[in-house]
Amino acid sequence: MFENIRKIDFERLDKTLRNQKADAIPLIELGIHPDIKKEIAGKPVVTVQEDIHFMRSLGYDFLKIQPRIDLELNRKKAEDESKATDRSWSSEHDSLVKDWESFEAYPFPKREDINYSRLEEAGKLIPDDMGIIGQYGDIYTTVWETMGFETFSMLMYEEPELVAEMFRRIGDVIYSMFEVMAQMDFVKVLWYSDDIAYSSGLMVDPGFLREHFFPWLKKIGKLATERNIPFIYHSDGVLYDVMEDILDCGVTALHPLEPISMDIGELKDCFGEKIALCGGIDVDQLARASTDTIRDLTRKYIRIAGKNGGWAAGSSNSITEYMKTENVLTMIETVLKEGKYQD
Amino acid sequence: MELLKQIEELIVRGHIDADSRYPKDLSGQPGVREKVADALEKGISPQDILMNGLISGMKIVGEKYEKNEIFVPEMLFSAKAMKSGLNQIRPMLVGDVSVHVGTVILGTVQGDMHDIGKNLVGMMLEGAGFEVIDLGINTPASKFVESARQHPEAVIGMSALLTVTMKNMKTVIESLRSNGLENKVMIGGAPVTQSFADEIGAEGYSLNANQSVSLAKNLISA
Repeated sequence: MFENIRKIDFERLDKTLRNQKADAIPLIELGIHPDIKKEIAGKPVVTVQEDIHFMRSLGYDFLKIQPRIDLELNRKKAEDESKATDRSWSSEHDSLVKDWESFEAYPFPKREDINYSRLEEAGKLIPDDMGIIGQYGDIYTTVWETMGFETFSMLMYEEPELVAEMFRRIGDVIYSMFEVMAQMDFVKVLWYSDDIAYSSGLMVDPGFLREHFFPWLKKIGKLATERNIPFIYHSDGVLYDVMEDILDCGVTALHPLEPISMDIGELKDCFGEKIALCGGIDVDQLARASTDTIRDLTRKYIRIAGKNGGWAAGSSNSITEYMKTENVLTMIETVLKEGKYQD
Repeated sequence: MELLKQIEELIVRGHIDADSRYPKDLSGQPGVREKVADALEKGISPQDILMNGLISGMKIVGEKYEKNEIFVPEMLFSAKAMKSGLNQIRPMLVGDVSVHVGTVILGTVQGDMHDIGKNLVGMMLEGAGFEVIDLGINTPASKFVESARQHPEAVIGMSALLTVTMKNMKTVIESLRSNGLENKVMIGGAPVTQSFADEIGAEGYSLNANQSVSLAKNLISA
């Protein structure tokens, strides 16, 4: 589709994620919904080979892949009349683990349950000019989803050892994925995603995060540092109060920069020299605005976030099924055509 | 410290009762439940307990939350502490118009299963003296209409977490108006903005749970 606008070059993304100025602004996304992929490609994008071809055709210099694991989560489903797709969300009340008894009965995933076959296949198929991003996350999210947020909140104080043990059990399995991915030569970037904040502030006290969450992020960051590969961290929400913690974990790039939570200009001014920035283009605008508005918005980000490098362009979360496909394509095309550096 | 001040302080600290282990330094000591019982026994009026102990305590909690001095877990403890006191005095307040601030019908719109934000709003509203009718999550427009019909004076509060579900807020407002219901509507949730509220004809938009209290009061008195 956009193959002729510019050449694929993973070095462009690699340099940007190290907060350096590349030849042009790269594209990045945590995910693109299968419905949008199907609409753009004209057919379902299912296999690794099809995904590589799809990402190339849009100008992405990478393929992002997760290991697979079955985590028995506490999920509810809601059907939306406007789309055929169901969405499932974690229950904020029901608890699969609420005390030591249910903890003992909970079927925690094991390291040997993790399936890396898609990553291994991608390692064989990925062209030289693209890179593979190994991604997983959700240590914090899995703990609270398994307990239900209200129960989790109560147990944080009333049964702190149980909560600590949950972090240890879940953290150990998810960390092991990064250990394995860091050993795969073809994995060129590690990406950890785990929402710790709302648009109004952190979900829980930063002291709690420092005790239970950031040590895991730091361990994963160390794997990336030892391999000398970029390390992206994704969390929605306002992160100003823990930016120093994030930097201390060896994170080289921050995603997704929700505009409702953090101002891109302020981030660039305050942290632009320390960390690369990824995303930022408003999900809501991509869903509801006109293509002209999206073009203008993307240009604004190229000007502000892209100044002197260190910004990978993309949505402020991921490409969801309810976005207008023409807006997604407009954002991508604008970056490919106009996101170049003169010098 | 006078008893009402103690109740207010215990609400702020989120200490429910003597059995509660939160906060650690108050573990085993009387909480809001015991102090409210004590206050009633000493002849302090339920109205006084409500206004100058429970509500004033929750007001401080809301301010602390807005300033990021406390977070959702601490706020949940405060709300539970408040409820432990409120449950004791509620039967004595039935029919007392002097303490009835207003009624708010709350719900997360159809297609959306998120309710932490909505629940926080409900807690803050209850903490400010509102009667809260919680319609729950995934609430169809017809349910809002039905409840609004029963409570024509109530403010409707709608929550959504996603762009795709927030459009259902517009459907609810259209349903209310086409049924001749004039209940004021306030909306909130991660993707919601003031401009969206203006666009769909909602009378109010609240950025967070604490602000929803003053917004609901303004809408009630408007």
